[in-house]
Amino acid sequence: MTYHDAGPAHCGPAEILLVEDNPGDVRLTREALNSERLWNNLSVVADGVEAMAFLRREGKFGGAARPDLVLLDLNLPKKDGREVLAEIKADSDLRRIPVVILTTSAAELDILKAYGLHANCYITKPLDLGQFMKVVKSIEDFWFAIVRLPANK
Amino acid sequence: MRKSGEWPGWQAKQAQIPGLSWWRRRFRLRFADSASGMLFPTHGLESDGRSTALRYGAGVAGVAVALLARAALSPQLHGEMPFATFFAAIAAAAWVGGLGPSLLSAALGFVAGEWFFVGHGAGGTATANGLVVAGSYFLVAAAIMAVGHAAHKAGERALARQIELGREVGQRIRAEASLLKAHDELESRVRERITELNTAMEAQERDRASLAEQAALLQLAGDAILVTDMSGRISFWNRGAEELYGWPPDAAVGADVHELLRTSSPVPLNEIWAAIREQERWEGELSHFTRSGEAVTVASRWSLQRDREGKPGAVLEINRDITGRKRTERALADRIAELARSNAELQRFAYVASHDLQEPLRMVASFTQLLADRYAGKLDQDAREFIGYAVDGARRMQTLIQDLLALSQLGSRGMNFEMVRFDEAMGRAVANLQFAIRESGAFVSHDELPAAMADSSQIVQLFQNLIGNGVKFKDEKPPRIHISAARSGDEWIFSVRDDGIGFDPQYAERIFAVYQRLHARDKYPGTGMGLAMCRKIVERHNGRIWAESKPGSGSTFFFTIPAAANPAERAERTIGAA
Repeated sequence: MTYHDAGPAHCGPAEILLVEDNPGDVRLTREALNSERLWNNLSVVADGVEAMAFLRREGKFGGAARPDLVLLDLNLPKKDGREVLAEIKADSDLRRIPVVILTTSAAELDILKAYGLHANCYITKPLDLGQFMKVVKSIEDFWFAIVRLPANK
Repeated sequence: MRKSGEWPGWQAKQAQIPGLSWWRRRFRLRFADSASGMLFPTHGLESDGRSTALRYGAGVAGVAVALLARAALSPQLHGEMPFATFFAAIAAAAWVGGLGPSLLSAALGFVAGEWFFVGHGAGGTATANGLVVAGSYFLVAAAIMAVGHAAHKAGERALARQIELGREVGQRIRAEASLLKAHDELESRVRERITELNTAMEAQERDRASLAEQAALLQLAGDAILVTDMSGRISFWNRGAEELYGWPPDAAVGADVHELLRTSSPVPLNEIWAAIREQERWEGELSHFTRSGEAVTVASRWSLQRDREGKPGAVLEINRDITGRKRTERALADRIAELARSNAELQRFAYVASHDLQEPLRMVASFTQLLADRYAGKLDQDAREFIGYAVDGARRMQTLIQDLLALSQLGSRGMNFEMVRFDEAMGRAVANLQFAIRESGAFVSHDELPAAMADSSQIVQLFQNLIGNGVKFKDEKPPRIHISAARSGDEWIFSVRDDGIGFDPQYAERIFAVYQRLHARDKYPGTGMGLAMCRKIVERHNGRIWAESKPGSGSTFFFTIPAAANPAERAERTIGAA
């Protein structure tokens, strides 16, 4: 892909935080990202509480890198995706990080609520493997090759 | 009223007075008509100038008559008794005219006797004998005058007495007449009063009869009917009341209604009493206890009865037993709450199912696909076929779940009614079906479509499913689909006609049921949910949906939508054939 060679606006590998409790989805996402030539660094947390701790570099996440993009599932244990989204967007520092909702729900109410909480985009996971791979790659392309993001300090 | 002439006493009194008829000829008695028309004397004898002349005239006439009589007797008497006949005249004058006329008669008689008869016989008054005669004459005349005058006076007194008597009688008559009148008035008043009393008694009798009739009817009424005074004391208690509360009338009448029935009410009793005094009626629900201690709920209606003076006198209370109804209502409310709860659970289940069922489904499909991709060289034909079925099954299950979710959402989501232009809704449906239409080479046309009150997104879905069906169930040639609308009474009938494979009319009902399919999946894929969804949408719009078809000659789907109240709201005709 020519976009990548044009050089994105950030230096070093792209930091992606995947908040997903289903190991199968984690694996599929990893498969999709690894098949790309793009240099990226995927971190995975399994629930909302861990996600917030990671973002705020609390506890065992003290040395965590600040993500350039968050892939957020909605239905999560402990603290669900909607709460995580609300907390990120209420934080003056974290709110600049783009949050992509990646979920199985196609419910209108979920979509409406997510955008109401300032989600940057909402994607329903396709059933078809090929489609899923394509979607994940598209996300990567869009956010790291096309979109200009604020400089990561 | 009696006439005066018919009164015998008056005539008798007249007859008893001597010489009255004669008096009446000689003197004018003035009679006047009284107001009542009865005749009686008012003034009596009157001695005016005319009667004085008459009295003296009578004296002169008497002397003249006596003179004529003495002259006629002259041949027999010669000069004897020259004054004898004049004494009669004097007597008559005295009796009739009184003292004055009799004096005149005596003087005239002496002169006439002297002139006509003494001169011829005794030689006149100049002689001694003549003086004796004259003296005798006057002595006798004086005696006659005295007697006659007395008689005259007696007559006058008698007349005066009679007049007085008449006056008294008149007064008596008047008194009696007024007495009679009073009596008559009293009598007529008594009669009137009796009539009144009779009428009142008849009315009372009628009232009593109709009351008895009404009471009998009240006994027949199924409701408990009771009458209390303004303190709540029972005065009437019908059979319905006895049946409802178990108290016989002799136990209930005289008792305080609220004590007897242990009334309880959501509204304080004194407020009910205040309402009945002010508005004359009250309606509401009361709780009572029967004699056996069973609680009953009644729909109670009170009305105030006023007495003759308009003061509140009694309260009519009609109680209908609604215990059963209340129980049913409560049960119904419980059932409704239960249904709402289970409905909410179902909605939640539908969401959870659609969401959480898809997650593992995606895993199955994705990893079998990954398996097929990554190990393509190592798998044989069978393995690839098996993986194909697994992936297809997962995919169909996902479609099913999605359709099921859409159907359940139709029922749970509120309707958003607005004026929908059906041509626009149809246009959106066609746009959504763009890919399938292009693929099948379908030609979609339509007539002018109206506007009506509807949920826009549901109408789009409806057209999408119906047109989609037409596109799907085609034969070899490219399908032609036509949409039209016609007004019928207060609704619009829409039709979606295709020239596809059609179906046997015996399935015309069945095709609208959930999961009902007429064709093998490999030929015409689908979940059998599309038309079920259409029916649900149309029913939620208070319309009907049906289909007509014959195998091989296409099918037409009809649905109705209630027309807008104002026919002028029909959409402007903008879109031609697509």
